[in-house]
This record gives sequence, C-alpha cells and structure tokens, in this order.
Amino acid sequence: MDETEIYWHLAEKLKAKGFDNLYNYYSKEFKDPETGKTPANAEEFAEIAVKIMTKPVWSPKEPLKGDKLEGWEDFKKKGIYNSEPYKFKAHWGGKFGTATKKFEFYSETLKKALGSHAEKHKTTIDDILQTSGYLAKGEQAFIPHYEPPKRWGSDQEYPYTFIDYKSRLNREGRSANATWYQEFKKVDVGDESWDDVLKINPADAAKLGIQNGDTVKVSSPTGIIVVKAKLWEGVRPGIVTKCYGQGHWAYGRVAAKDYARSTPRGGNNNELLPDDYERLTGSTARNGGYAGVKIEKA
Amino acid sequence: MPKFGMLIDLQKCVGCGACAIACKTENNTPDRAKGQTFNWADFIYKTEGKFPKVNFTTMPVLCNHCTDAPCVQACPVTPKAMHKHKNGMIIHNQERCIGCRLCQGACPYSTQDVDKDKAAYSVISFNEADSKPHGFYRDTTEIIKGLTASGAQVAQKAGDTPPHRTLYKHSDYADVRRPGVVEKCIFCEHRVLKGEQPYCAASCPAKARVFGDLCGQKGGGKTPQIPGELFSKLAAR
Repeated sequence: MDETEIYWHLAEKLKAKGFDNLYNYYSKEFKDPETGKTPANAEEFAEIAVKIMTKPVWSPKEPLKGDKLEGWEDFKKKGIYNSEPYKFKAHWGGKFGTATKKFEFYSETLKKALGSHAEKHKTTIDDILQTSGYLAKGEQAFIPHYEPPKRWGSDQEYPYTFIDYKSRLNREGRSANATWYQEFKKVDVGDESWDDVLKINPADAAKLGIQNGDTVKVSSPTGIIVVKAKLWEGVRPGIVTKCYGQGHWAYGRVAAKDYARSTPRGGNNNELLPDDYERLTGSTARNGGYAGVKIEKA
Repeated sequence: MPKFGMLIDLQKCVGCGACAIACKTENNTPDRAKGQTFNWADFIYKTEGKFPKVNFTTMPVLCNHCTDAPCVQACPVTPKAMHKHKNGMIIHNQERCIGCRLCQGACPYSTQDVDKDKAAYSVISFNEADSKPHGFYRDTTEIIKGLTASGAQVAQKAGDTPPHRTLYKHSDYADVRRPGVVEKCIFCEHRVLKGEQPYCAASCPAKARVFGDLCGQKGGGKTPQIPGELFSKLAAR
C-alpha cells in the first residue's frame, strides 16, 4: 500500500466519526491534472497526489534539459526523471551561488546572511552565533574552524557519555521483530542474543557498585531508561553504549517482551537523547545531540 | 570425482552473521527450541584482555565434514543415515534416520542440549519427535484476541511453512525436516550439484568462505574450484 493511501483511510474514518474536513479536502480539492476528476478511493487519491506533485517533470511549462517524458503514462512506465547531468566546472569562473560568485574560503555569503539577520533583530553577529550554540566569535566564524561537539549534561552531574549506535542487523529502528534478529543479536560486538545490554567498562562498573547483569537506571538531562548492564572491556571508561531500536513495546510479539502488556524487551535510546537542531540551517541533529548520563543500580 | 572442502579466512571474517542467516534462509531451519539451536552455521565470540589492550575474536562454526567423522561412526543403522558421499561431504539421509541422536553425542562440535550443557553452539540439532517443526509458524495464539495475527495465519496467507520457504529437492534430505530426525549442514549439496556455491559462501560479503574442489580437478565444468594458489597459500599459514 502506498503511504498516501493511509491518509485517505484516516479521512474516511474521521468522517465516519463526524469530522469530515479532511475527507472534504481530499475528495474535492485533489483534481487530476489531466482529466479534472476527483478521487473516489484511496488508490485514486494516491495517484492524483503523485500526478500533481510530479507534473513539473511530465508536463513542464518549458521543455526541460533532462529526460524527455511523453506525459504521465510515460513517466509512470519509466519510473524516473533524470535532470541534465552536471557538466564538470559548470559553476566555475564566477558562477558559484555565493555573494562573491566565487568559491569562498572566507565566507562573505555567511557574513552577509548573519549580518542582515543581526540587523533585523537589532543585535550582533556574535550574539546570533552564541544563541545558535557556536563558540566562534568575530572573523573566525567566517572561515573553516573547529567547534567542539555539543554534549548535553555537565560532566559532574552526568559523568558518563552515552553513545547510541546501530546494530549490524538494523536498517533503521524497526528490525527487532524477527526471531533471527534476536537470535543473532550477538553479532554486535559485545552484545547478547535475545537481549538488550548497556555496555559499561568494568572499572566504571566497580566504581558504581554494578555487577554484570544488574538492572540499572540510566538518566540523561532528557529522560530515563531502565536496562540490563553488561560489563565489557571493549568500551572505553567514561563511555557507555547501547544499540537503538530495542525499546519497542507495540511493534510485535518478538520485539516486545510482553506485547499484551506493552512491555519492551530493552531500552528506548530516544528517551535519553535530547532533540537538538543545527540552528543556521534548521536541520535536526541525527537523533538529537549526544548526552551525558548518570547510572544507578535500579 | 571432486573432493569438496571449505576454507574460512579468519582474517577476512568479522562475524557479521550473513552466512549464518543465509543458511537459515536457504535451508528453512526453525528457531531455537528445547536445547536445540537449529543454527547449522553459528558463531563464537570472545572478548579478552583489559582496556585498552582488548582482543575481540570471531569464530564461525559449522559442521566440519570431518575426514573421519565420529557422527558417521556412531550412526547405528545399516545402511548409515549419517554417511559420507564420494565427494567428501557428510550427508544425512532422513529416510534412514531413527532419531537416536548418537551423532549429536559423538560429534565434538555438538551437544544434545545446549541449555543443559551451557554450550555456545551445536552443529547438529534434533527435531523433537512429538512436535512439528517451525512451531513459530504453527502457533495460533493471538496475543490480543481479535486484533493481532498469529504465526500460523502468516504461514497460511503465504501458503507455506515457513512462509519464506526455499524449495529444493535432494536424494537424502528435505528442504524442511520432519519430526524425529537430526539435521545439520549438508554443504548445500543440492546447490553444488548444479554448479552453485553453498549459500553461506555465496552470501559472505567479505568472501571469507571459500568452497571448492580440494583436488583442483575440473568436474564437468560445473564444479566450483578452490583456486590452487589460494589453497596452498592458506594451507601454508
């Protein structure tokens, strides 16, 4: 099923409950760009939505420089539109999309952007940079320079750095509901099959009074998880680490420890990780920033 | 007549598990149950030393198709169920197997119960006589009544048990084994006879598993070869 069809089904269900705004919007405003027809079901809705979105490539106002498509059916058959390949050095010689139209080691473009933003908000560029979480000041900001990674939580209150990582068996977060995944979880260096373990260096564990297999409470500035500890020499002291994709409670009977009771098999790293953003672009930091944690025996 | 063997280059193996999972895919092995792993290919992992001088070792394990196999010696039926084919492979014949499990006891790489013996692996596994294989795909329990699906429903909708079953035919063994018999690596003879590699060897992303004719003889153009110089280089290490 195309994901777009799900929204149609939701609209139908909402209409049945007396909330018909979404259904009215979908069924009346989504018109087929060729025939003007409105959708009668989820499949038609999904196709019309894609037709509208992709019209600039299968029916462009001006002929495009890339692939030549003979309309919607041709595009559907080919499944792809390739734009014109980039000619090497095409942007050279004063054609860069920068303030100086040249490659900039010292970024006049960034200076211009931050300058106008500072003026708009009646403040300084240094203030903008600081608010955005950057340490660079003055001219240093406009040239390539080092910025230390941002760690949430002070070393004093959250002494262990939490490293979240991807299992060899994960694609993204939804791989844990297969028996073979659980059976071969041990392929992750230091991990255990049919389990989710927080790997702690034995020297750190000794300081915390934690033994192998103990249940521990792990707290970051954002949240808390309760998980099994594994003492392992393969992790550096001061770091603790655990795979993501382990805290499922509603995915399925294999991923959850007890699906009926919504009990997860392991801990959900997302509870610990703060949501953070790169403020100049607005991009999300992958799974938030990285955080320090404190660890206590549960 | 080729004499087949497999070399695993441990310098290339990182223990990713692709071979073990590929084997389960090809041979439709069930999930771990009742002290049997059903992992014809498996792994042992070891962490040794103290930070920062730590060693992590990966050891892939599987039936070694022994030259003088204890499982064959132990097999009590005549003709033997566990026997050696002329091409050197130790093949298990399911028709003749009586499920006595003496092979599991005799094999130095197996045990009759990995839980009781706290064993990391067992290359031979046994299908309990009183239950059908692939319990997961025969289970009809709905975790939440009227809402969740069961393994049996998935198998029924897919049209086979297991749903992802790889079909193959072979003189001695079936693609899904019946209750009351043992099972183990058969070097994918059903593939090799067609000129293909065992599925584990074909699936290794590092090409750590090298399978072929140890004698380097050409068997009708279809037999996979271990390149002569690779074999002598590895044998000399």
